[in-house]
Amino acid sequence: MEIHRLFTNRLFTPALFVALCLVSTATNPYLQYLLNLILVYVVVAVGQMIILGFAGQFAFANAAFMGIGAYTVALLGSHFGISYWVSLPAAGVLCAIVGCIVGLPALRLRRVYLGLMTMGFAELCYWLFLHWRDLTLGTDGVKVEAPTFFGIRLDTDDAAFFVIVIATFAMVLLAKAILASRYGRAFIAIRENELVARCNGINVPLYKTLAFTLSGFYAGIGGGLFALAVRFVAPDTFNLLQVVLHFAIVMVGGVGTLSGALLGALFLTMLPEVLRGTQAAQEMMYGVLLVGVIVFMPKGVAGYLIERRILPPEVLVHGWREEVRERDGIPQADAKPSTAE
Amino acid sequence: MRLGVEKGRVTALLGGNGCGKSSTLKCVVGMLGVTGGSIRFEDETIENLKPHQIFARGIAMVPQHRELFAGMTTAENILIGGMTRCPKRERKGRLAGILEHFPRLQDRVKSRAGNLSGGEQQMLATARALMSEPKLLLMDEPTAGLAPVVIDEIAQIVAELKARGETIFIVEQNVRVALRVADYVYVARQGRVVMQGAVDEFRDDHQLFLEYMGQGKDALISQHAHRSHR
Repeated sequence: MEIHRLFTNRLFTPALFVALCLVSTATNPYLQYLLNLILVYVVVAVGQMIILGFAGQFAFANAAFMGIGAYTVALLGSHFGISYWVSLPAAGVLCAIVGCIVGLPALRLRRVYLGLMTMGFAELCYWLFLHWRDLTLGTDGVKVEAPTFFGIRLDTDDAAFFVIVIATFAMVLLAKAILASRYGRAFIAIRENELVARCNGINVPLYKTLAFTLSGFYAGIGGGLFALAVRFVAPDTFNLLQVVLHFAIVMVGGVGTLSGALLGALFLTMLPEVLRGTQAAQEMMYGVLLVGVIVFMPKGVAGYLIERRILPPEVLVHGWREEVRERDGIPQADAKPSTAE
Repeated sequence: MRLGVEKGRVTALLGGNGCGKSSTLKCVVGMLGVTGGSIRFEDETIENLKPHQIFARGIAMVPQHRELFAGMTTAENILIGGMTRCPKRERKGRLAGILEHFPRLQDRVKSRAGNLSGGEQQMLATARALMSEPKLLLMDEPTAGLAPVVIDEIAQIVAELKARGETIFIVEQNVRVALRVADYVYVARQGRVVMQGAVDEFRDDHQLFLEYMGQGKDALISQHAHRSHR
């Protein structure tokens, strides 16, 4: 049996869920914390992948959305005593609205100009987190209250894991469904060739705005989960380095693939921890490894694994799904997955 | 520029580089803003509509230089053409019907669009536009940059579409192809229509027509004016 068929098996997702739950019962607190963080970054990376990898928009505001989501959860809990179960979706909705607003200039800006604009927005948010002391408490940060579930206080990493893993699976499955629908096809069409997308009746401004909204929603939920995993929100977490990290996750994972978001989040969350023993050389080795991945795997880790038939190819237009099933997910020699410009 | 396209017929707009042929098509599909005048389609003014609204009314364009989704397969490209104007239940049947008309695409249905030959890419761009079953098909220089043998093939495809009763507005520089497929021809020069008529008239007056296409023969405009008087 070829490995890629394992991933297309219907039992793969439930099996992975059960496996993660089992792993969590056998880990120490440090590994549990790390696992939680990886899952949080999967959600955030999916948001970045939707806007950058699928819709092809050079937008780097996700770190800001993540910060807004994290602060929303932390402040609603600490200032107003609102339950985490209300503040988490509220964080997602708020970031979706902000994402929609930030997306409006994207209708006129492209490529590097859009990148600069969104980076400016990220920097503005960081400045607000830092200096709007009355609300955010500045560099002191905000402690996140542990949520309770039917009277059980979820104040350990083990307890938080179950919330994070369920939310992550739900968000990834939702993204999979969206990308398999006409919305996903429209995003890809816009990314591949905006002119042709217009020629084929796709409402480009609407879908671009939708991509920003979705991306904001994912980053907001990711931020809310981050607040639960770390239990403390401070401005420095959402600075320019966070912007670079989100971009790197998408590029290293593989642009335009959902599996790329998952692998990128796994790789880039684990890497600093793996290199922790190298002490002074850590940052240098981190940089060298990133450059190595980009040079030797230009389509990212997911693209590399798809080419070697370890991962199944991701179908771009799902109307052709039957045909893909007939050929058992094996791409033709020249049917390579597409990449963003 | 005053132009009209009759239902079920092929109308061609001919002219040299920079005479405004492609710009005219872009205005029709909403890619370029119209600063003056009016564009009407089925008794509705459409010059202020967005491209997707115009597409929804049944106007599809085959852009110049094909403009395919190079990373997608042939089938995926065609399916995207029907994304907004083809109900899901009809998608498979319509795709099969289109591929029947384009046997060369049938053979390369799983190949990436970027790997197809120039002629195949032109066929694919046409097939993609047909997936929406347009009421009016606009073709922007479909033979540009193709080998002579492939040009004949594309002309044959347009002729077949004409035989099926499709309404086509084709913009061309290739006089031979236009005369072969069109029912009615307009000749544009510097943003204005300088000649028009049924294709047979142009066949009868071939020399004059070629002079116009060559451009720079201002004297011929007066000849044309004289001819119009007749």
